[in-house]
Amino acid sequence: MGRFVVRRIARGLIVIFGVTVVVFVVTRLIGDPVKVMLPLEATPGERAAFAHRLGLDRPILVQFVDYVGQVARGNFGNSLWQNRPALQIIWERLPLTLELVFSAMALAVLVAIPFGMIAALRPGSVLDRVMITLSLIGLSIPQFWLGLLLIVVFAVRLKVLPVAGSGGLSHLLLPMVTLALPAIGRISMVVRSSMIDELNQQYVQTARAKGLPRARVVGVHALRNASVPALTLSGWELIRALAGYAVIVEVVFSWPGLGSLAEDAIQRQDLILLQAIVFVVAIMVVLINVLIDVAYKLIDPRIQLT
Amino acid sequence: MSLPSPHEVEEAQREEVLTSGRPYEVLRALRGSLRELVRDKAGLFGVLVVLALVFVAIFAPWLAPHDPSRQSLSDRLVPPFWESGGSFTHVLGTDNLGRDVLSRIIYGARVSLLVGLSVVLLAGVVGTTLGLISGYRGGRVDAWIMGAVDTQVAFPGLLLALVILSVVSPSATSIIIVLALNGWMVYARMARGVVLSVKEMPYVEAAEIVGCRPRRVVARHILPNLASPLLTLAILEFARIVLAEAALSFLGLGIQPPQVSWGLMVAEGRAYIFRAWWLVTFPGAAIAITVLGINLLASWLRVAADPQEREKRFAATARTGSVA
Repeated sequence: MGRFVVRRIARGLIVIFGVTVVVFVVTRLIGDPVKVMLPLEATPGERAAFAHRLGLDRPILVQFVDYVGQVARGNFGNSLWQNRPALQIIWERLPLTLELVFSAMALAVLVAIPFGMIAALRPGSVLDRVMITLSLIGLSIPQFWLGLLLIVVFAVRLKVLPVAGSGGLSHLLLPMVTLALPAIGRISMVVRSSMIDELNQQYVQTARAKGLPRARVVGVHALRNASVPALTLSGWELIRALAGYAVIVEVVFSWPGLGSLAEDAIQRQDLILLQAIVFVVAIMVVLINVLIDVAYKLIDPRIQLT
Repeated sequence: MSLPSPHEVEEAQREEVLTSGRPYEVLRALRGSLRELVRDKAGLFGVLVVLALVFVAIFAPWLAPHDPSRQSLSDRLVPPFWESGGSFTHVLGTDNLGRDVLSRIIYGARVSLLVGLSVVLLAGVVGTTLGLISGYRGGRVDAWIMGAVDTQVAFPGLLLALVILSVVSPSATSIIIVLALNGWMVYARMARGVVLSVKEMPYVEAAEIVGCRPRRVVARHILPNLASPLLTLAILEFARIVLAEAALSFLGLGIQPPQVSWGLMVAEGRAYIFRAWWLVTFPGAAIAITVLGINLLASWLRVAADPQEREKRFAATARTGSVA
């Protein structure tokens, strides 16, 4: 187990290094940071001075080694937009994103598991088909659109919830539901399908035959085995939400987390801040991946960790 | 027992060719799946939506009542025809520049279809090829390709796409490339899995012993096994790409004006959401219905084309029958 975790973290470091390389190459080679960050009317002299200040006039390999060295020491440089350490800005915004993402995923799992289980009890029944259709609708609605519709209905027409911003449960409710809905659709489909598989297994019949109540057989015996694929998917959903969907939902609801910070950094062409955000998100993604693999082992001892 | 004469062998072969190619059998199979489709309402809806999307995208210039980019300051923010102030000139109303919403939605179908198809083709061909090589060759090649897949799957994909699109100038081409770079891994994993499951089958070994070159073994004997799962995966990916394109365009990092995209329309209508609900509602509904249709098509196809899924469905009904 210990060796496995160490190996997984080593692979995670490779991922983080890969992300660093990609971001570096993209921002330095494909795009011209000076052109991107300075206004159009800047003179060649101003451009050269700016490039020199950021060290962009040195050979690209020297720049890269220097960049990796700085990042390894936790120094991402100053944000060009706010002119203070990029990491400091990220620390201020990160808790809000984590609050949004984790509450949304908790909601998704809590809704999707009973949803999928009930559908699996009678495959092909009306209830099952209604559940499938609802799940498909949930995962087909674009989140940015759903968010806007929810704002119009609950914040503008009914005036029961705030339009945007953060603070308290009332602010969290709409973005949380928006972020959770597609995940609910996908997770409940997987729970349903793996539950149908499990309920056809012999151990379920054995458990029923020896007189265990049906609720216990379904809710304990079968659910434990059916939860392995659901767990995998939930982990992916968490990663997807953190490394993408949160940006969209945060922008729609003006939720002041990392996602809307990334949007701001893009709008203001603050590549240094953007690099730091991607790096921090990559670290979280790697950590979640390791945690999922460990959780596997705890749920299903048959899984061989290599 | 004597060996069959060459003549007998030839006749048997000819008969096999004839029976497998009989046109009425193809027709019967087609009619069978059509009948099944009509019975499955959700699948039928999916097929109709996808057909409509293709039809609208191809014939947009003939279907659209107005030029999608023609502005008219006197016709700004006209509501849809059933609201007071609306008329049949602009069935779904006009936007803040007086452009016809219906025409823009019709032209927007082109972008969704173009981006979706291109990404699925690009990522699908690259991913499947790499997966086939990885699974068939094994060894170091396999380790390298799958290592790349595992590493990239762990990347924060959408965020990286945002970074790349914020640096390069966003356009349909750059969106297609970025989304394809982000999506090839699923195909590689699936192709490799199928190769590994059939590689030891007697018919594959037989082909190898007979002396088929690796390329022929993979293309003729292994690839057909991929047809059904690959088709389902490609359709599901298509739905995901349509959503991703809309989201990127909504954030201003995708399709740029004056080109038309549903996601871009929602972004443009966002500022008028309190005064003109139709600017956000209709293009968003177009995305949702399209994606839902594609997903329904995929889920119908998965059951219809996969004998195991059919069996599962049968087993499930048999089980509930016995329990009830």
